[in-house]
Amino acid sequence: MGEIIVNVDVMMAKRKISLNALASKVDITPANLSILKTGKAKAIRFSTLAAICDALNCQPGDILEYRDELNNK
Amino acid sequence: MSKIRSKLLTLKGIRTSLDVVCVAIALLILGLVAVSVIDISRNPNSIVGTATIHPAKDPIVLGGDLSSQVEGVNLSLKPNFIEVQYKMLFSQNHTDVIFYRILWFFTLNLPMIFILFILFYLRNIVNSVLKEVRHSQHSIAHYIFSKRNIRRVRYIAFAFILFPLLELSAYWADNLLLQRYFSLKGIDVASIITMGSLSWDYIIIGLAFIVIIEILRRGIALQEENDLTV
Repeated sequence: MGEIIVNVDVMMAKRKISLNALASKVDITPANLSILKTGKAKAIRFSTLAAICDALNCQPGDILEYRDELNNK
Repeated sequence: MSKIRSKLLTLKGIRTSLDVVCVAIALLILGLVAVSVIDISRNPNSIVGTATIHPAKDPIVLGGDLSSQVEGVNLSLKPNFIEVQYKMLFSQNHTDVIFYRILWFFTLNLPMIFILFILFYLRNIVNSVLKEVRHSQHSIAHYIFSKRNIRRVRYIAFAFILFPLLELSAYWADNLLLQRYFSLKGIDVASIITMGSLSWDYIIIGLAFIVIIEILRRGIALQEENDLTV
């Protein structure tokens, strides 16, 4: 099975928003947002996803990506 | 905040007292080792011990015919109803003497070594909690259930299971030696350790520990998943 890659950092760079600013907008702790950004997260709540999409003005597909195990693409 | 500080102070107190007790027991064991080493070097070819006797099929006559199957071994017995004190004198240095002495040293001091082992791991658990709490703001209970501490508790559980097994090996070895060097007409000689006097209940405690560890491990897995859910 492949894996889910979190591309929050790419979207954050596009929107030019800092980690702390996004954390306060989404109303989660910077530590938790850091867990998400570094790919350590095991799960994400729909409410958190919705709040991040709202703050970054994007779709879930812009943040999350499925990468296949075989061709790595 | 002050509540956490008082809890930390309590933990520190527990750790310090565990430190003191551990060091005291370790020093005591070292002292006993030194004493027994001196004792062995002073009279390296005699064994003084106690055994139990019970009549074989023929009736016994105490103080009667005593003999040893091995040449150069002298036996002297002081009958005391069912327990006898014996002294074996070997004419030359014998590895069995050293083995027997070491065996009895471990058998007599096994509870102390066992307590030291458990207290040492308890101290390490308390210490790990103290170390982690200093660096973070989570509650104290959050740090007790870590993978390392689970491993420590598992060592304690293994110690509980191993303890009666070590006693059992001492029982076997003691009986083996007595059977090799004792031959009394009409009397069966056995170790003063009996199967019933071994701490079999410790095995049950150890198994209960292992069950609790499995529950804790599941809890840790759930907590980790919860912590990593954003």
